[in-house]
Amino acid sequence: MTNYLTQISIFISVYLLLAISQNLVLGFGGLFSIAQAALYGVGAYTAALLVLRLHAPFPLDLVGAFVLSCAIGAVLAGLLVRLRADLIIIATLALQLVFSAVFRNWNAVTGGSYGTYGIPRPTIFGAPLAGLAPFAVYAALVALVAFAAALAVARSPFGLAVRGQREDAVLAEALGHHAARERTLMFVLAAGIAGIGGAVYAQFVGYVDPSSFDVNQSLSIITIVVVGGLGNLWGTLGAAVILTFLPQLLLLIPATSNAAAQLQLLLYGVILVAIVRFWPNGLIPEQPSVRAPRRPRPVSVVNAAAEAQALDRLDAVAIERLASPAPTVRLENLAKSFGGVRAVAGVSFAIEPGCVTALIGPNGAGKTTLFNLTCGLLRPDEGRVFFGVRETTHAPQYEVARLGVTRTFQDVRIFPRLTALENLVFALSTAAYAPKGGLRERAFATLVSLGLDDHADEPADRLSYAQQKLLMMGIVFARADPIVFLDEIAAGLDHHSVHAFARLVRRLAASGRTVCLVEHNLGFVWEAADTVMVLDAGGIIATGPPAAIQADARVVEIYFGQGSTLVRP
Amino acid sequence: MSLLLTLALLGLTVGSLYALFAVSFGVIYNVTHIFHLAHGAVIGTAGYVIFFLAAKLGWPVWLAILAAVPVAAALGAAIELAFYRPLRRRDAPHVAFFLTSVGILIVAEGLFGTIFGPGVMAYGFLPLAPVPLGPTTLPNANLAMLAAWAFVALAVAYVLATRTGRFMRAVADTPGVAATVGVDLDRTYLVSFLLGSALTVPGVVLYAWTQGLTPLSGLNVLLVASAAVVIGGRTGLLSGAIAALGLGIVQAVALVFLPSGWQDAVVFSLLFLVIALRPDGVFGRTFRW
Amino acid sequence: MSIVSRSHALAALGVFAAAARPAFAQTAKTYTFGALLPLTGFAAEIGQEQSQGMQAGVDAVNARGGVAGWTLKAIPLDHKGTAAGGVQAFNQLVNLEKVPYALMGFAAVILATYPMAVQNQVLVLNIGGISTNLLDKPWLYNNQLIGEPLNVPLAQYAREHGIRTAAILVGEDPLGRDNSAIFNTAFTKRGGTIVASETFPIGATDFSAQLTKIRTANPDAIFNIVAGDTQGLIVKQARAAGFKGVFLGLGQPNLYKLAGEAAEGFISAGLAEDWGSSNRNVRQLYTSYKNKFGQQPSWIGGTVYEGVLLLAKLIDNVARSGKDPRSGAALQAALEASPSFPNCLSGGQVVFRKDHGCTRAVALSELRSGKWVTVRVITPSSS
Repeated sequence: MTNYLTQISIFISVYLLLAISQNLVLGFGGLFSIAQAALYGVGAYTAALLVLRLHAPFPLDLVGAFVLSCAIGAVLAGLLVRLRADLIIIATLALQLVFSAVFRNWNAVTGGSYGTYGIPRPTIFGAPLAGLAPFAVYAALVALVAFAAALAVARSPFGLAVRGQREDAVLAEALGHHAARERTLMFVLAAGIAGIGGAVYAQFVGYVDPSSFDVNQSLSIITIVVVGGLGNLWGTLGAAVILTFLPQLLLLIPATSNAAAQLQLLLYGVILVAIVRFWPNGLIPEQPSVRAPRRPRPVSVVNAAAEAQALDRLDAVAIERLASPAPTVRLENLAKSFGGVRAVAGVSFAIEPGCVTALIGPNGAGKTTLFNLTCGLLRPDEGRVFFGVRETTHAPQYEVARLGVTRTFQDVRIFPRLTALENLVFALSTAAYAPKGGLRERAFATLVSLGLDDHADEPADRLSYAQQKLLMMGIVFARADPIVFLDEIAAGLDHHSVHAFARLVRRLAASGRTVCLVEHNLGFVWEAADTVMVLDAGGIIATGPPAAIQADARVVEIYFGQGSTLVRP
Repeated sequence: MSLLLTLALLGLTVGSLYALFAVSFGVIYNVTHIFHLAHGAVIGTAGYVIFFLAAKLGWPVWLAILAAVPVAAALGAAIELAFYRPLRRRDAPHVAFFLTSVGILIVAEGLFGTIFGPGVMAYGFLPLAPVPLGPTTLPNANLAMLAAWAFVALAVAYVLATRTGRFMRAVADTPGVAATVGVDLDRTYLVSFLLGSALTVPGVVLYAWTQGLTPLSGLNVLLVASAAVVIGGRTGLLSGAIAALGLGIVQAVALVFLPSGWQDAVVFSLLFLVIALRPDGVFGRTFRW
Repeated sequence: MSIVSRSHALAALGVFAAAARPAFAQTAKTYTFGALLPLTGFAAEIGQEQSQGMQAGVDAVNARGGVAGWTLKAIPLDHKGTAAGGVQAFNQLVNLEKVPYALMGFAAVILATYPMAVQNQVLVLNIGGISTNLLDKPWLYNNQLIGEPLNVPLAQYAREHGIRTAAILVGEDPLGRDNSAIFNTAFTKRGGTIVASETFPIGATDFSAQLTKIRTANPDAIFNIVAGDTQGLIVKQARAAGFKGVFLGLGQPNLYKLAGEAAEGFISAGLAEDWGSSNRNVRQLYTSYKNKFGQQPSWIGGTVYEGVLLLAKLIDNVARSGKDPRSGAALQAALEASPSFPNCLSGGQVVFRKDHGCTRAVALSELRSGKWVTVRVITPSSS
């Protein structure tokens, strides 16, 4: 009996390694890869060949498997990471099938359908691991080391960064993270772990053949991870144990009829569909990587008065004065077309520090496009962008962000499955101008100043609209960047809130910062702005202080039609 | 006749069959953007129903085929209504759709295996015979595969000429805008599933005529069909059909140069490269149904 | 290709409760042995027949009161066609059930589990796999013919009947590779020419491209080796591609059922089967299988049946010498002492060779009007 269980435990160790790999790439990285079995196979064949052909001693076979799997993972990631989610599924499916075909046909290297056999057990410190128990210990150790490493990565700032880009890659880049590179690193790490799993398998069974590394296997691994919970490593551990053990128990029933075996298949499919239908987050949900320093107070019912109180806090939030004035942002002859549509046509202006500049104009005028061009989300067809003396025309978002720019998006845009605290820590990790000190402490302090500290460990998508808006502003405060771009920050706000936000924006400018708004809410604009620029059909048609713009006939015309006049209430 | 030409001719016929399956899959995929692996379950069901009616119950072949059409269509619609629609309502991520689809496919394979056994069920009621064509010979079933284009044409005509077809094109292009102008998304998706599923019937008949049926047939067919749809570019039915035709020819002709085991590698490497380098497909957005 | 994973069936929760039984509670004189069979997957039909053959063997032995006071009990487990599946199933047989003897038929599974067999001293009998890798292994014996015994007579017969050119069409597995290589050598050595050589992936069902290629080479015969129903498809499709010649190879069970007239004239080499024989052992296999399953047996189930009878013989020999027959080492010693046992397919004996392959009667049969008619028998002494 002990031998029986010991052998099962070895398979648990191997499947755990594979499941960790899958969870890292899918649960954390958000990349739906069906190719982990292929990387598992790469590791297995590599270890086998290193030992059989090159007589590599332990641990070179393990290391070699890790290295080659990482290398191949790096090549694949380069091709995969920029693809849309649904295409990644198909692309990795294609990859898995290609690898399976290579394993089956590259006779000279893999032995083709004969497989490669006679792989000896590793010799560690002079003793070959011939017995079952010693090998089980070895396998468990390898799996535990990988598990601990994965846990460390999950809790690290890198882990948080990867989870953020999984939620919203564009937002992640706007907050200074190189999303594609982070995804690639995670994919490579996952590939390496799968490779180690393959090496351990090869060392144990002593025989590798293509049937163990096919699409079936990839789907098994995904099942383990989905059942255990994506983004939750402890769930993966539990699922790996259960799902390896369960079929063994099934084997205890003599399979006397073929129909019985087919029925098992059927039930497996039913279970899979049921789990996805009813527990889409797996049995155990994702856990945050950073937690609030103190326990939250019980949250009372949210009512209008409490919300109003929260907004009033904005007046009390400290905004540090800048030591030296912020740079001027200059746009020169910016132009951008989409297909036949000229969205921005030769726009030039400067956004000065210490004052609030507002961009207004009817829908389709090109305001958000201008923002996107300036902050690096889009590349201009013509023209240049300067932040102070530094040209950033072709710089991507994350480079611009690291120069000291905080940019918000239309409507509320935060990382829904990260907690409020995690959202801020994420944003702070690339902030060049934030005061030194613990990221978690500064993030939590910001939440306190906004009255959101009791929600610190809640996923951000559970906050109310107003709370999420405050969280967005929290990012602005915490990063303390000298340049702030706010896209329709006043959208959806009531009268009371509009005043509070207007005061806030003016205080930001007064601290020496360069502040630029895109707005539809004209009342907000008249209150908050020093300079107003009016955009229509991709070009600026008027510039000036609010009073002048309100009186400008051309402006009234583009908003309300010819012959209209603004009647002041 | 040179080997190359003969194989190209053969590839043409096989590619025509792939084209029909590509269209049946593409109708669903282009409109709903779901990678509907469970389509393999529908294909298998259609095939086994025809087998059961014609071989076991002794129905006339044409009647068995006709009877399979509503069965297949209903199954496709049922999957959409019972599984995909609730997932859509909950805004579920792609992962969920894919796993559900895989689960349904597995259940179907288990059912087929339990009821009919894992062996090959031959379409004995459709005899295979050689047809001499000058210097070469082709199986009659392969020649019949050219008839697949009639169904492709039917599907394309439907999508171009009818009102629902226009809605399908709109939804395939920009679902958000289509919804805003009043197109009933749910109903359009349902029609796609009905049409795509019904189209599996002529396809599976042509397929099983030569190859018979196993529980895995649906999936094997599906992999090539979906590869063609992705390679062709997802905005049009014809682009998928032409890509499928190309795949059929390449696969056959490759045999002149490579041992057959590498065919899989060739087809799926091609698929991978197209996705990586031209994610909008070889024809991109220029084809409009 | 098979996309479905069969190694995790979560329904075990309910099924487990029902199946809970003490795994190793045996009555005092029950002798347990194991078998790894493909009960699911593309070879499931074969596994089904192997399982039936095993049952027939167990029943036959137990019906005459067991052997040396032992009642036989078989534990058939599903290896699902993968090495990993085989290893996990074998783990149960060896470590939980403690079997000293096991029957297996897949080359990949046998090779993967062999180290465990050695370590635990389990005697393994290969009842179906064909691969030269399965020879020269101390704890593994083969009552299936490997290599020359099947292919050489086929090549010989072909040449004698005027076949000058042949094309090879085999699956990409050890079965296909090994046999086609040997046939190739034998055929060319006797003056024949191989004009085309094609392969196909295991699990494929469309051979039109390969057959078209072969057709253009215009061979007199096509040599085909593949396990299972695929052979029927190959024959059907070959005729439809315009091939009018002869088929040679290892005939599979459902060939006529699937290919019908197209398979007429197929020349098959296989373990000789003579169900009309008056030999006691053959009669017993035939009647017990037919009564229990309502079908005629074939070598697929027959070799497994023989495996059970071989076990009975070994238990008997070991018990007579006063030792405990539940030891794999004792069984092996008994086998080495007397390396032969009755051939239950056609009479005569199966004799193990030094490389642990065997010699036994081979038959060439021709498919005529749906029936296999023996055209030549090669018994070991006359080969």
